[in-house]
Amino acid sequence: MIPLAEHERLAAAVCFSRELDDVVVATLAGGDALADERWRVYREMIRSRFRKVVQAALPRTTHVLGDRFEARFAAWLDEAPPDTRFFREVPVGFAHHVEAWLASPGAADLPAFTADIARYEIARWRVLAAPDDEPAQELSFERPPQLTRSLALLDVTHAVHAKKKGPPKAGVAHLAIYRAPKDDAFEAVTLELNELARDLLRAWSDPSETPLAARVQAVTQARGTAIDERFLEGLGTLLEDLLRRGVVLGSR
Amino acid sequence: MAREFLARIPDEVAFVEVHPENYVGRGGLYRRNLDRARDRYPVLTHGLTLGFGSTEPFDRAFLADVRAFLDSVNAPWHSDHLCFGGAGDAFVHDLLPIPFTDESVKTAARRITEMRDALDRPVAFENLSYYVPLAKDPLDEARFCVEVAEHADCAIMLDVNNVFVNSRNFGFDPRKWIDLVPAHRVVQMHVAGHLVRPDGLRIDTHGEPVPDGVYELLDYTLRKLGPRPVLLERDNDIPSLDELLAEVRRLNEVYAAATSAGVSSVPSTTTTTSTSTTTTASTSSSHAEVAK
Repeated sequence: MIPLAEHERLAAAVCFSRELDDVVVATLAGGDALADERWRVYREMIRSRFRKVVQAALPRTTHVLGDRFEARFAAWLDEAPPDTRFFREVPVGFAHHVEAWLASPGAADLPAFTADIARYEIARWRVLAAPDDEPAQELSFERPPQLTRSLALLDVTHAVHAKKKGPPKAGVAHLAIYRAPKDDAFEAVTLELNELARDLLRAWSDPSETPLAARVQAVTQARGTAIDERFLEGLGTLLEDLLRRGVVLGSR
Repeated sequence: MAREFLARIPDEVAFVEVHPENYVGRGGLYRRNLDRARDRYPVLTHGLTLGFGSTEPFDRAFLADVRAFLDSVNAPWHSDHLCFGGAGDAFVHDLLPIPFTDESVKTAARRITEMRDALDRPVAFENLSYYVPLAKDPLDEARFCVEVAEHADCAIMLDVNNVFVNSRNFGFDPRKWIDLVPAHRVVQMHVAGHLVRPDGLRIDTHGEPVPDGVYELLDYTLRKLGPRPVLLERDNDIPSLDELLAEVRRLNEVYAAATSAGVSSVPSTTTTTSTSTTTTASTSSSHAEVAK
């Protein structure tokens, strides 16, 4: 009888290896033909469950990968199997794997928007499960801002968020994705920001204790933006909109 | 399903069971549905990723999160599986069987004790559906479970469907398996449906109605061990709520018939919030359950 730790290591290898090694299965099965067959059943069940959750979270990515999906899926499990105990987070690993692979020569023939689609889909998937927010204080420029924990900020080079049919058009976009109530459930909402709004939201998302006013000043200084009447009016409109949406909750 | 279930709050359901892994660190719809369910039902908890057969050390931060979650729902005990779920940092998100060895007994007993201390409440393990032959005598699994329970001095979350599935896959009388179980250890039970593959192998999918054979074994088990909360598990291919509640009513009938004629036994290691009928209705995704 093999030690328990070795039993577990071999079982994981059976489940995750790109190519199933008959010797590994036979060792795990202790030479028993039925056990050998049944460990292969486990492999198929486990991989099927992973495949389903990945396809549910990343339908457009899966579609774009087409007949190359299976090879990517197998490579992901082999090279970087899920390291999260949260089943909902399993597709995140696959999305990261695809994004990294897309930079390789082997993926050169895939559309340039593929990485953006993967990043966009996984961001929308994650905001729906993000932790709930703590109550905030009334917004004050003298205190650090409190934003929703479901917010994801994403820069893309193709309009993967556009609802138009057909391939996403090239063009840089700055996206804010957050969870909002809809009917008796929730939905992931996408906002398109201009560059200044993107920089402000990034600065406000920082968990430091820096007050809101100082964060605004830091962004304007870095960008060379004057804090004039027009800017203040725009800032007020932005804050009002984000407060109404529940993206900015108030102050900490 | 969850929306309809929570709108109707069906009387057939007595409690719900949830997996902490589906709620820890998660907000939105899952958390809101749980809060609504808690307003009406007692909540039991059942883990998926802290298998007692694992040789990996516990993630202490996650154990602390689980404890906070159990406190928040006032869980009287917590259960997980007599299995392992990966190796190293990798999670298979399935329940893999461990050999019935002394090493496994010691490993499981140590982890159960450690979890009980960390969670500050009774801990139970669930017997597994497994598909790989692990012993010449399949009843060795029951003896293995009893040995773990004795070594850890813990409770058993008896999955009646799993005993049934194993009995069909490995050819033994499931009543003999049940006969080996010490009644005072059993704190809760599960029933579910399972898939019968074309090659005859039965897989514990929680995706089919509970078959007659499982109800019959539940009847036998309840008469033998006495009344315990019984959960109806359904995670996949979830039917309409009306269909599910019809199953719950049948379960309740089996329960009432068996327990009125059977022995009344109070679990010695737990304080239970619900000792009457039990049932579950799954809510949404593959690892979320709402029961009664």
